[in-house]
Amino acid sequence: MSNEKRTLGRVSMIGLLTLLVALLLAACGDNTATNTAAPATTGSTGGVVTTAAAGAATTAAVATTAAGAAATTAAATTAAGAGAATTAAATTAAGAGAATTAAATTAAGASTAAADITPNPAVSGTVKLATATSSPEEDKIVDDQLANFAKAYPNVKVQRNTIASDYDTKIKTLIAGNDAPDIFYVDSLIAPDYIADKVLEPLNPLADKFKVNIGDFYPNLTKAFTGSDGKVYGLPKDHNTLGMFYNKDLFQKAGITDAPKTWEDLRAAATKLKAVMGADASPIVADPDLARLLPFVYQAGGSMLTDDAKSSKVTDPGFKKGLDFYYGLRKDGLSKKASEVGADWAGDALSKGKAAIVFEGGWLVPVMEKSTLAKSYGIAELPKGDQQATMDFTVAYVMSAKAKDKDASFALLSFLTSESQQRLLSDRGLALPSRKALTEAFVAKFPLRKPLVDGTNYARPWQFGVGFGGFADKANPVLQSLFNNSINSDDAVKKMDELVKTQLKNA
Amino acid sequence: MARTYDQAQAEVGFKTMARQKTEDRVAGYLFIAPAMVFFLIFTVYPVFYGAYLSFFKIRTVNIDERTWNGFDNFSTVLASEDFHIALWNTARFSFFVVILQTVLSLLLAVAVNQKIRGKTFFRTAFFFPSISSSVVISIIFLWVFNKFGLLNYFLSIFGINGPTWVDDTSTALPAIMGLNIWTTAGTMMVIYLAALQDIPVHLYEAASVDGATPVQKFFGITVPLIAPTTFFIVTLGLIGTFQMFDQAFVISNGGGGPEKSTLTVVFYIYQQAFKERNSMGVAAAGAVILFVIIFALTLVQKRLFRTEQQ
Repeated sequence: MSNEKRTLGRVSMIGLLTLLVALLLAACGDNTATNTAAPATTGSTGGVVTTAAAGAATTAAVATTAAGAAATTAAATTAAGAGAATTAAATTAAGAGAATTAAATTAAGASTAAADITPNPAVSGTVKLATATSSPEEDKIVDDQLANFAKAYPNVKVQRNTIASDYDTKIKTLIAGNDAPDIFYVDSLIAPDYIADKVLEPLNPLADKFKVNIGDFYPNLTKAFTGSDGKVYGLPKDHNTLGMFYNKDLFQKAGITDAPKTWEDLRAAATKLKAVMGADASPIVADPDLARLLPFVYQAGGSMLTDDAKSSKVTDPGFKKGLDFYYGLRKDGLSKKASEVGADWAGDALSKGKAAIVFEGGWLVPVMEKSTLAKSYGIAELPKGDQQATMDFTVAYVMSAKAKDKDASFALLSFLTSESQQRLLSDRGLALPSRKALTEAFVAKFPLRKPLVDGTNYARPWQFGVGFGGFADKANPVLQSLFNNSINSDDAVKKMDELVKTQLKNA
Repeated sequence: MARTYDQAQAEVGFKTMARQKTEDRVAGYLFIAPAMVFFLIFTVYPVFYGAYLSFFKIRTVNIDERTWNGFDNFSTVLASEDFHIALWNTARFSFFVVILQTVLSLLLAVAVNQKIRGKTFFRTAFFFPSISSSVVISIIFLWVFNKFGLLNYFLSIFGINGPTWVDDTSTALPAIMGLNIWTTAGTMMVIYLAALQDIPVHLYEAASVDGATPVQKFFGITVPLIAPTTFFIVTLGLIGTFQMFDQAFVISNGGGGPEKSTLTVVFYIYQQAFKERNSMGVAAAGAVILFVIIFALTLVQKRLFRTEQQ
């Protein structure tokens, strides 16, 4: 008896809940034709609940009906609204204002860019595009660019493949499997390997045909994608130089007025900062990473390879001088690894207030903007040693040598790197524009990032030569040994020299 | 001479039986055909193709243009300092993980096999890590192992200043060992649990009558009777640990560091295949060598267990 009562109680409770949900959804719906149907459905469900001494089976049936009603109502709401995204935001979130506005602005932005597009139906075909996901923002921008492309080239179909992680491995596998995307991202470090292995299409003839002036890009960026045959194999989509990001609050606390400009300044500033920072933080956070060490080597007038990339220059005094300075900061307790202050990477340490100075690029800006230090960080050029130097990281759009529709593929490649479309990217400030024409507007919009732009003039590309595509993974263990004091800097130089020579031999 | 009814009947029956047998055989092969086709295409063919590729010099991006390289790839692997480091790391990893996970999973299985309250909860809780994605678990453990993470916080209660676990050459590999044991012990526990429940209860009852202590019962009845399961678990553990890659990859952020302390054999193969420009053949040779090592270890182990059982 009591069991039956309990079941009955449960069923009516569930029934009441579904009734409530259905009513709520009906209330949210617009006053359209479906709305009249909704109460009718809910009414009948209510009937079932009150009259039947139902078992589980009926409960399920009730639930299904209610779900059906909900679906109809939801559909009605969406159909009635102006656009799917806007309606969803309006119905679900209380603070929907911001989201809706954001969507509207982006749409508007996309349409203004689309306004100056004249459709070119002459080019047709299908293009497979692969991009790496570096941030949701960038993905969204590529989406907008592709929407514009669909207007500009209505007869070219684009199939997009977004690769979330381990990008180079995935691309290499696709190329090896004869399934390379027609257009894809290539990092400057791996570009020489791809060019030497003849997997990329030279772009000069197509650029002439499509009247694209390669000279509009920064020459030191296009140089990173130029083969030994003098042909250009990729058009840079953007780039980032390394700069010195610092915490203004901590600088003030330590009585530092100007960002350090030379190696001596940097040491002096770090020493002052150490006095005002806790043991769980560090004035400088710098990891044993080739990409952070090399700018200091360049500043000392050294280099890893000779200019023709055929022999090692590691044993020249410049390399050792740069290494000694970079490692010396650590030895003197002025610099720590990110993990030692509980951070994932140096930028993470700065954004958490665990570091006062880090050497990073534009990718740190969005992280800082979202942190509590958004208003109190500054960017300066890397300090000067014997000379001014920094590292430039760039990624280009390239075309597979096996691309089927070469015209359609180049149409996409040149469109994505065109001035109007690159503006969508540089307007968001994720990276520096690779086109000279966009730089002035970029600096005007983001004055804070001027030092990064200035670095472009004297930056060296993150690139060594054929066979060095995965070299950082080999060099970093040596630097780790040095940072952990298991070897000294003379040994580190010796080991690095051996590594470079082996790599040159195997390339 | 006319055949009797019985004779004829027997003959017919015999023929039917023979036909029946052939039909059964055909049906059997038909039933396993789909699985066999996939097995041949996706397992057997790649295994032999991989072995074949280990004799060539190959560029990663162009496998078709390869040049004969004889046994050079094998000597490259065997002479490589990185391979020696990787092998040593893997051997240490395998040794500790296999022993600890086998002992731990047996203890867990015995514990949840008791008549205790909430044993279903404990079984689920111990098994749960096994069904979660190992990459996700590795990322969670990166936080546990953080300099100011959960583990060091726990240690700090006892006044111990914990290391930067995954960024310290002496603790990075042990950290991955702990993580690996934690995730695999659950699966092993379930296998042991099944074996434990197969042991006839009357053996324990007889032992009790004879006055055996629980410890004597455990070593006298439980351990010998589940020896085949232990063999199975140790084999699985050996193969699994010798192939460890994902956890080291995530914990070291794809580098095998610090200072190659988390470089495993499969990690080495991965680096040769994808981080070098023309070492795909070396990677294939590394894979063949790894196969030989695992195969030899399994044979040795089989022999050891056989003598123990006799």
